[in-house]
Amino acid sequence: MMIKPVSIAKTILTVIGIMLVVSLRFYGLGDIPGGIALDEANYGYDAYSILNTGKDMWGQMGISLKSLGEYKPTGLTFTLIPIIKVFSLSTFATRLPSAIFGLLTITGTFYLLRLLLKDSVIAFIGAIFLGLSPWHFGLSRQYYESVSGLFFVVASVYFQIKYLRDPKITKNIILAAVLASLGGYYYQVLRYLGLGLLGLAVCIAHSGHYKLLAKYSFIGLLFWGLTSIPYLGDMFGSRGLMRLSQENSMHQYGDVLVITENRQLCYLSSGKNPLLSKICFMWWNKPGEQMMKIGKTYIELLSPKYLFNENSQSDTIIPFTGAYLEFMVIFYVLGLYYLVKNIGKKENLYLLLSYLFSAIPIAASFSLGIQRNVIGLYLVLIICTYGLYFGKVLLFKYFKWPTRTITIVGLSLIFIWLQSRYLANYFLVYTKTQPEVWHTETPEIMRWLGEHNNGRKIVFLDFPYATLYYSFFNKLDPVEFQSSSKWSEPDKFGALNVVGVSDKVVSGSGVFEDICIHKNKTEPSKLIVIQGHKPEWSSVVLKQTTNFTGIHVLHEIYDTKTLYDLGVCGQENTK
Amino acid sequence: MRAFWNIPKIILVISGILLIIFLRFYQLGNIPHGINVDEASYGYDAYSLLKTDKDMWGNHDTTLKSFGDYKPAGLAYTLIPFVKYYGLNTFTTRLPSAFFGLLILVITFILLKMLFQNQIIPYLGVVILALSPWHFGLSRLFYEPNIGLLFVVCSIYFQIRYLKMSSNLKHLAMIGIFMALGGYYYSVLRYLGVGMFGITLIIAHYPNYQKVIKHGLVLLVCWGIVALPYLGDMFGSKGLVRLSQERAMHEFGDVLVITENRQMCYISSGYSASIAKACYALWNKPGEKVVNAARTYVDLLSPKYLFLTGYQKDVVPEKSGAFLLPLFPIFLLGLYVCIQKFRKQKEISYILISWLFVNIPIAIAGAQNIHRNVIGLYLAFLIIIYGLNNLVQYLSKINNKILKLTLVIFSIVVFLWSQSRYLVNYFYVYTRMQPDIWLSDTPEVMEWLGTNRKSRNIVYYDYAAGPLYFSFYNHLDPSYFQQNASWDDLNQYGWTRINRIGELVRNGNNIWNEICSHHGQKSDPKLLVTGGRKSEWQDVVQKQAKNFTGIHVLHEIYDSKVLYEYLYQKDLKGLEMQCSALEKK
Repeated sequence: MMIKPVSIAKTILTVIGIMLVVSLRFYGLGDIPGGIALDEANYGYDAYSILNTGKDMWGQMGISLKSLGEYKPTGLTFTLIPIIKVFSLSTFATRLPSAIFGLLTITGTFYLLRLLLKDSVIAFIGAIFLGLSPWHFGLSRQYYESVSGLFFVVASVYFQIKYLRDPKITKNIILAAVLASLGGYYYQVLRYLGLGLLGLAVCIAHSGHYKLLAKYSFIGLLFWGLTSIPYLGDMFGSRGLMRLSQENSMHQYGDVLVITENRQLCYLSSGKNPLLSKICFMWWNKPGEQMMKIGKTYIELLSPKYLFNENSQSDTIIPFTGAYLEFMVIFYVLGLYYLVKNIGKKENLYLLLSYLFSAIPIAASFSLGIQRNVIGLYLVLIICTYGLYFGKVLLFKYFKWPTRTITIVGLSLIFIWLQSRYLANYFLVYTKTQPEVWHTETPEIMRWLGEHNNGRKIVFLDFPYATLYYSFFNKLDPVEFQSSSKWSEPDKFGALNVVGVSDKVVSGSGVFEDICIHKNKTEPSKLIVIQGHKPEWSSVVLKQTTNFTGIHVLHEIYDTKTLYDLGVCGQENTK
Repeated sequence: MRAFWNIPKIILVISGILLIIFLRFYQLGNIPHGINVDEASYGYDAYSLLKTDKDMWGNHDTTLKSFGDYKPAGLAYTLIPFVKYYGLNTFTTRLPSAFFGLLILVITFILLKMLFQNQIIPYLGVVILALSPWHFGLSRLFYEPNIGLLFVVCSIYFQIRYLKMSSNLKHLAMIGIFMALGGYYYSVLRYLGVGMFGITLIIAHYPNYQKVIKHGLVLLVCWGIVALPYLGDMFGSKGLVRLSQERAMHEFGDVLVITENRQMCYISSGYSASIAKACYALWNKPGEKVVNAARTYVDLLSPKYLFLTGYQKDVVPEKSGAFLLPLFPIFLLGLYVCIQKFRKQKEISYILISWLFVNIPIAIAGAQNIHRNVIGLYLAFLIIIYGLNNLVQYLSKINNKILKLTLVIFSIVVFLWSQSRYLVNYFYVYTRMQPDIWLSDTPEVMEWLGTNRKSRNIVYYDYAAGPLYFSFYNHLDPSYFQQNASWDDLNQYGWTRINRIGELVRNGNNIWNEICSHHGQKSDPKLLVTGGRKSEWQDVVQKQAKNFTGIHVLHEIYDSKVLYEYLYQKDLKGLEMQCSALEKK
């Protein structure tokens, strides 16, 4: 049998595409971005603690982890356990689930798009678009739990589409319900959104047939509920809603400032007339401000500016870049046009309404964070792929060679240029130039401290959560952590900080206290970790970490007794 | 019975009209308080043309050299009768925009009446446009594109008639004439107009390209005859100077980004010269320009731009969009309707395609400013009205009267709440609390100087265009201005500013020059205008201008001789030190 050259080229391109997506997601996973995110340390150490003691770092075991006071779902932590067992506790291990689930999501996307469009080439390109899109690429190279949860939602959407096409096959709604529920084990927002999407699918499938609607709603809810039993209580309790209330209280502070300022100006502008200024209370008040803010966040989430231009999460996407490359806006517009034009088709209506619906709960938390809006962003990919499909139809219907070839080659070149520019920026510029975003020097400091402390107590100054990072990188015994960790009081937003572990590793407040204590000659020396560079102490510095250019000092480590001997004590008033 | 219902309707319509007129003209010269540099420039150019038949540079042309940006002269000529009748002041310079803004509402009413069968839509549409932050804000300031927009809207009216009524040649002539008239006010409208012709003709006659060409020629001839005086400018340096100024300003930022990324590439690649060279393919000027234009284009189409972010803080408060927030769902509905009827109704194809097109030149200029994008915003408004029409249709189909009434009342309450919040914010908060945007103390300072100058010369410190403001508020003789005005050399972007008008008014760079001019020699006293408060000189301050709370001092005026004598008595040593340091320099 002769194999056609076209098929060979297609196969080679497919293999290259797959290899490119896989290698870009796993290349230097533990080191790029360098450093560690707070939640990475948190999830990782919780998993390590459960692996070794059967309890989290608080010494508890529940369906949510107290963590830093926000009660995280346990999905990611449990997924991490076998990975840590095999690869040990490291940044690479904490990022691996996200990278693997991200890859599975891309595979699922291919099948979903093929189901929707019945065009394998377009489905494959759509999957590649997802694989290389800044938001999914950025999230998959870090720990983010929502990107793991997204996999289950995508799988659920696949079965929801099948269900919409043939609502009589009960198997599809059951699978859709179970998968939607599983996503909720990873990320709280997905619990509400998963249920919402399921409800939307059932409503669209049986609109006008109330008996069938009731029947399938019951089936969907039953299977979703059975799978969700462990976290059902949390969904409407204080633990499940803790993160939302933390976000709300953070925003309320800003609202109060705006309200107070505008009321004051109203008073002054009205010639200090108390009656007139009281009328202004009607326009500037907390409920009004919150409603406006929800409305504004909702509009932002749907704005092409947010999708293609603006970075709303500095640790995931390069500044001045959107969730998708600018180039995709063409397909987005075409896709919206196509879906709206063919809205009579149930699955099109479902996709459009899901897109509009998925932004509502995110807007209610006033957040534009990429990791929260994974479903909305994913649906944008589906819309863009519809646009690509529609574009192909138009191109082949209205144009002949050479216009077709020129268009395809031109668009491919633009895509390759923009994409390579993005990737070069990601690997060579963005992840290197912002040490404060990822605390790039943290692994180096913590490992050095682990190896060189020689039993000395370690004091961190201006280094939030340093004790947790230390425990993570030095695999501190979780039993010791659970029994001796000291936690700060919750701040006004309910967040906690671990300030010390067994008097070995603590967060300090003033450098001179720990140095001048050596007036007492019997006091054992300590290691202090300070931020920035102290040129006057350089002669006795034990360790210095710098940014990637080697120019800016990020942290320095000193021995307190050596500093005392240097005569530092007594300089506090002059420095 | 019919008559009974008509009375409240008439009362409602009349109150609506009166309210719109009142809101647009109430305290037009004082809110926003102060003056924009272009208001002063247009106003004084008009005054100069009125008195001497020449602009402030002593030229007579279709463009005004102004600050080196070669403005179309339409607004200045329109201002002449207003200046003649009302005198030269801020109110006068804003009057054409307010007046033409009102005419836009009238033409919009006629346009909406033609587009929609439902009688209530034109009324609602006019209210929405009249009170929308962008059009309301522009109409209360001098902005020339707002005047040009009137002619564009007239042209759009005839373009839609042309599309709806089988290609009437009379309409074709009107399209061209009105569009050409718009170009006398704002350069961008010249190019956008020609592009919109093309869209209209292709939609009307596709695929009959012969007819497109035939009608296109007729249209271009009509347009060209009216546009003749500025045709040469369109492709010459004068017409494109503003675009090149914008590009030059953006290029500086581009160069910084390119240089930084190339450097980082070099360092990240372990100082490998060949890898760093490869990065040149990714970060270079043409690439950055194209990417930036694409980003601006996406911005301009974004609901965020339309409903959330004021990109021009002198027109729309920072946290408001071009339209009010509650109109967003209606906009989405409008887009839905327009897409659904895209191929069935030519006028909808025209509106949607034109909306997508008009943002392209604006994006190339790299600007999201509201005043540049008046056509885009007007077309977005039409899309909103399509949504509104559909919403009204849905509501009228609801049989449940209680539900219908609840929905109507809810919509009205939401609209009234957000609209009144916006207006209260505009009149009571936003226009008062930002003296730097509108230089709110300028009229007070300049009028005081005019009245109390007593033949003393004036020197400004940190007060860009101070001499121009003085000329504007004190109606300085334009002949004297033309002969004695001295302008700075063009800066790197092609801008210039007036440095002095003879010895009468000028910008200074070091206040001690004037104070020390009295040290050991006789010189005439001068009035010194400084920014902020000099607490150590308070005993001899002649005039203080403050913000609206009366707390923050914005400018102070001193007499150089009085100040010198005061310092001589109070701190002679300090004074001598300052003066000898100056001498050494």
